[in-house]
Amino acid sequence: MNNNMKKVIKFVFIALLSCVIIFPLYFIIINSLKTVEESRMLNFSLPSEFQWGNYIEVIKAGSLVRAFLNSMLMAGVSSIIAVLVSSMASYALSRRRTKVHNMLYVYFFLGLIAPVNYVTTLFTLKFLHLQNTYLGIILEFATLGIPFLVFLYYGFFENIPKELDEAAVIDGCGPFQLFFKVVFPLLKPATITGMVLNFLGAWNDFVTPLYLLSDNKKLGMTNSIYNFFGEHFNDWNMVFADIVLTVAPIVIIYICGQKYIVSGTSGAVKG
Amino acid sequence: MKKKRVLKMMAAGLAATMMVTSLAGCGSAKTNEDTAKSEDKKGGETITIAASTGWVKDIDKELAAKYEKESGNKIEWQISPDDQYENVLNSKLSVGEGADIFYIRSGITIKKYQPEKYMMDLSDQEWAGRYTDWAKEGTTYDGKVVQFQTWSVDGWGLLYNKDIFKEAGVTEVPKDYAGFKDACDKILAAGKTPIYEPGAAQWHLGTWLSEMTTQTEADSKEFYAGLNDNSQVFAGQKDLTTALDQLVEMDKAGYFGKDFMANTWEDMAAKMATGDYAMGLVYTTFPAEVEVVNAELTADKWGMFPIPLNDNRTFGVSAGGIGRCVNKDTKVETAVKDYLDFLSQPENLTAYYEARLDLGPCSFTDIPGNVPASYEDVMNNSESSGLAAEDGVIFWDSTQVGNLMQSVFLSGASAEDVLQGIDDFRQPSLGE
Amino acid sequence: MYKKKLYGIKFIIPALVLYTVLYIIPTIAGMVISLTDWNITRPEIHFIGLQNFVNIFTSRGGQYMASVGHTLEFTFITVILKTLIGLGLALLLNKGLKSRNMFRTIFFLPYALAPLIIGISFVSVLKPEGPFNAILATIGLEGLAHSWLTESATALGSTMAVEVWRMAGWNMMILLAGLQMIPEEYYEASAIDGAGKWKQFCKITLPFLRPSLMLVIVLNTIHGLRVFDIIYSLTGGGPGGLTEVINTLVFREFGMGRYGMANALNVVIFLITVIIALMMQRVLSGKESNE
Repeated sequence: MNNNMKKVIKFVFIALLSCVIIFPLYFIIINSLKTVEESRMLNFSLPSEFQWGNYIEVIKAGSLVRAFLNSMLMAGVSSIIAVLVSSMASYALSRRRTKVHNMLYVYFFLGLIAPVNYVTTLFTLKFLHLQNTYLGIILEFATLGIPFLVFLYYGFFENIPKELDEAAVIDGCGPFQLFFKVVFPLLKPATITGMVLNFLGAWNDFVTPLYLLSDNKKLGMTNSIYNFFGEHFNDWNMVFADIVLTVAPIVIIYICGQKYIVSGTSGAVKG
Repeated sequence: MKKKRVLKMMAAGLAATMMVTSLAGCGSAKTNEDTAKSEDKKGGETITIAASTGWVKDIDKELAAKYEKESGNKIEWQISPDDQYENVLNSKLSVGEGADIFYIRSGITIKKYQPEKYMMDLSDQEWAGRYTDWAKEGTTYDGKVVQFQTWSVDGWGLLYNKDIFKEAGVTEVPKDYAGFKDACDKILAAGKTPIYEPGAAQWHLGTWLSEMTTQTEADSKEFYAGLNDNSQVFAGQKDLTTALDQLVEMDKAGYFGKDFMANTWEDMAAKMATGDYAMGLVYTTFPAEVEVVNAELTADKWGMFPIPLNDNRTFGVSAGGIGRCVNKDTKVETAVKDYLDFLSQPENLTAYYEARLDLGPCSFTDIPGNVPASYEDVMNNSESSGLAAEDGVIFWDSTQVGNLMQSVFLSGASAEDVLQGIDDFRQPSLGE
Repeated sequence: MYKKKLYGIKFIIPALVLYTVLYIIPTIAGMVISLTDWNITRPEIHFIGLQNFVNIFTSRGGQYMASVGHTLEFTFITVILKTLIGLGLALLLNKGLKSRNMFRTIFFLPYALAPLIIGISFVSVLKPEGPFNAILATIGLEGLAHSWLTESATALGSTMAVEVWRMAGWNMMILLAGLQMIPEEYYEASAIDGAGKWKQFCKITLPFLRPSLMLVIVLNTIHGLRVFDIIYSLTGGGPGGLTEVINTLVFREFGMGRYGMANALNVVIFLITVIIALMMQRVLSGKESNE
C-alpha cells in the first residue's frame, strides 16, 4: 500500500516534470493548425477550426518533398559511412592499444573540441572537386560524426571478449571476415545509437550545407525552414507547420532506435 | 540468422555507396553536358545567383522562369537566410566559388567587396545609359558601373498616423525636438503609444543613428570623407550624443511603450495597423504594407517627417538599395549579360515594380515605378537630404550599432560609449 | 604479432583519411590564418604573428573579453544544471515505473530538435505576451512575468534555461547507461546489511556512476564553451551584447570579413576548452589513477 502510494506520487511528479517538455511542443503543434490571425496571438487555446491545409501549403511553398529526400539522402548515407569507418577504426584502436594507437585515439578525440572552419573546409572540398555536390556534403557530415562515434565504440569494444576473436581466427576467419561477420553484429546497440545520433546531427545541421552546398535545390529540411522563416516570418502557423514537418521524421527515427540508445551509450561511459 | 543480418547491413552500405557515386557521377556528367552544349549553341547555360532571402521575391522567380523559357538558359538560385548571407558570400568569394551574379547593397558597401577583384565593369551595357542619376551614382565605383539595380532610392523617416495626431491635438508636424516631445506627450495623454520601436531588431535601432549622421554630414560636408579615409572618428560628435541622449529621454518618458526591447520588426506593419501607435521609423513605402493588414488605413492617412532629434531637418536616403554584381570570374558572361538585358526591358521592369509595392521610384528612366505620397511628404518636411551612414560610411553596420545602443537602454552605457564602440568595431577593418 | 595482422592499419585508414582531410587540415589551416591579418575587404594578406591574440586581450573596449566572460558563465551554470537535472531524471527513470520508457523518450526529445528550431520556437514562447508568461499568470505568479530574452536581468539566464531544457534529457540518457551497469546484487547485499537509500546512493551509485558523470561533465563543458546555435537563434548575442559569447563574436567577425581575427577567436576557445578539459580530467579521475 505504502509502496503503491509512493509509486503514484513518483508518477505524478514525473508527469508534471514532463509538462515542461510537452508544453512548448504542444504549443508548436496547436499553433500550426490555426489561421494566421489566430496563431499571432501565440496562445495555448485550440484553433476555432483545424487548418490541416496549412501543411499542404507549406509543403508546396517550401518544396518540402525535395528537401525531405535531400535530407534523407544526406543524413542517411553519411550516418552509414560514419558508423562503418568509425567502428572499424575504433576496433583496431581498442584492440591494439600501443602508444601509437593511443595517440591516434587522442587525435580523434580532439575533434570533439577543435573548431570547424567552413572557409577552409570549402576550400578543401573545392580542391577535391566536391564543392556543391551531395558526395561532398555526405562525406563532411560523416566526418563531423567520426570523433564522437570513435569515442562511443571505443569503450563498447571492452564488452566484447577478445577470446571471441581468437576463436574465430582458429576457425579460419580473415581480419575483415572476423570484423564484419563476428564482431560487428555484436555492436548493434552502439551502431544504432551512433546512427541515430549522427542522423540527428546531420538532419539538424543548417550551417554546414549553407557553406558547402550552393544550389538551393540540394538543401535539406532544416535549411528550408530557415529560408521559410525568412520569407514568412509573420505567419507563425506556417512556420510552426514547417517545424512539425521537419521534426517529425527525426522523432520517428529516434523512437525506433530508442530502445537501443541506453545500452548503446554504455560504451561511452565505461571510462 | 545473424550472418544474414550482417550481409543485409553490408549490402545496404554498399548500395548507399553506389548511390552516392552514381549521384556524383550524374552531377559531373551533367556539367560536362552543359559545357558541351554551350559550345554548340546559345542557351543551355546555367546562371547562378546568390542573394539574401529578403531580397528575392516571387516576382524575381517569375521573371527568371520567363527568362529561362525565352532563352533556354537556366537560373540556379543560391539564397541564404538574411543573417547568414554576408558570411556565406564572403567565404564563397574568397574561395573562388562566388556565384555568377551576387546581390549586395549599392553605395559604399561595394567598396567592401573588393570591386577590382570580384566585380565586372558593366558600364558598356545598354541599360547603364538608362539609369536615373541616383541609381548611376549608387552603382558606380571608381567611375565604372558595377551593379545592375532594380530597387529604389529611399530613406527612413517617422511615419505618423494623421488621425491620431488630430485626435491628440497635434496640429503641426514636429520641426524640432521640443515640438516632437510636445507631440508625444499629447499622444500619450490621448491614451495611445507615441512610437512603435522594434527594439529587438538591432539594425532598426542602428537606423536611427544612421539617419542622424546625415545631419552631421550636411553640416560639415567632410564628415563621411574623413570617416572613410580614417582621419575622422565618431567619438566626440556632439550632434550624435545629443540625439542619443534624447532617444534615452524618450524611452524614459514612455514614448516607446512598455518592453519596447521585445518589439520585433516582423510585427511592425501589424502593430501600426492596429491604430494604437502614432508613429514609427520606417521607409516611405511602408504604408502599402500596413494597408495589406488593415485595408482601412490607406496611404493618405499617413504623413512622414525626418527624425527631429537634435532639431534635425535632413532626410537620410539610401544609395538606391540593393544591386546585382556580376562576378568577374563568371564563365557564362554572355548569358549573364543577356539575363540582365532581359530584366531591364521596360515590360519586365513594369511587371517587377508593380509586384514590388515595397519599392519606390524605378532605377531606370523608362518607367516611374512607385512614388509613394510619404516620399513627397517627407521631402517637403525636410530642408535637405543626403546619404545616410549605412550607404555613406564604410564599415558602418547598423546591427552592431544597434547592439551598442541597446546597452544604453539596458545597462546604462552612455551615448559616448556608443560612438566609441562604433569606432572600435570599424577600426580593425580600416587598418592601421 | 597476430595482433598487427588482425587489427591492421587497414581498419583505421578510412576514418583517419576522412577525418584528417575534411576536419583536421581545414582546422589547422584556420589556425594558420589566425596568425594573419586576412581581411576579405583587402587584397593583401600579411603574416602578423600573435597580433590578433594581443588585440583580443587588449583592445576594443573589452568587448572581446566580455564575451569570454559570458561564455565561462554560461558554461559553468549550464554544466551544473544539466548534470544535476540529468542525474535526477536518470535516478527517477532507472527502474520501477512501467511508463519509464515513454518518459525517457519525452525527456530526450528536445535533443532531437535542431537548436535553430528550438530558438525560433522559444523566441515566441518567451515573448512578454507569449505563453510562458501566460502560464505564470494562470498559476498565480504573474508578478514573475518578464520580457525574458530582452531584459538585462534575465537575457543570459533565459538562454541558459533553454539550453538546459534542450540537454537535460541527453545527460539523463548517458547517466542511465551508467546506472544500468551497476550490478543489482550490490544493492541487495547492502539492503541486507540495513543500508538506507541515501547510504546506498553514496556508497554504491555514485562511485559506480563516476565514469559516466565524468563523461557528461566533460562533454557538457565542451558544449558550453562552444555554444553558438542556441544563443544565436534566441538573442543573436543581444540585447546590447549581454548574451555575446565567443562563438557569436566569431560569427560577427566572419561577417565583417575579418578572417584573421575570427580564427584567432576560434583558437582561443579551442585552447580554453583543451585546458579546462585536461584540468577536469585530472581532478575528476585523480583518485582512480592513484588506485
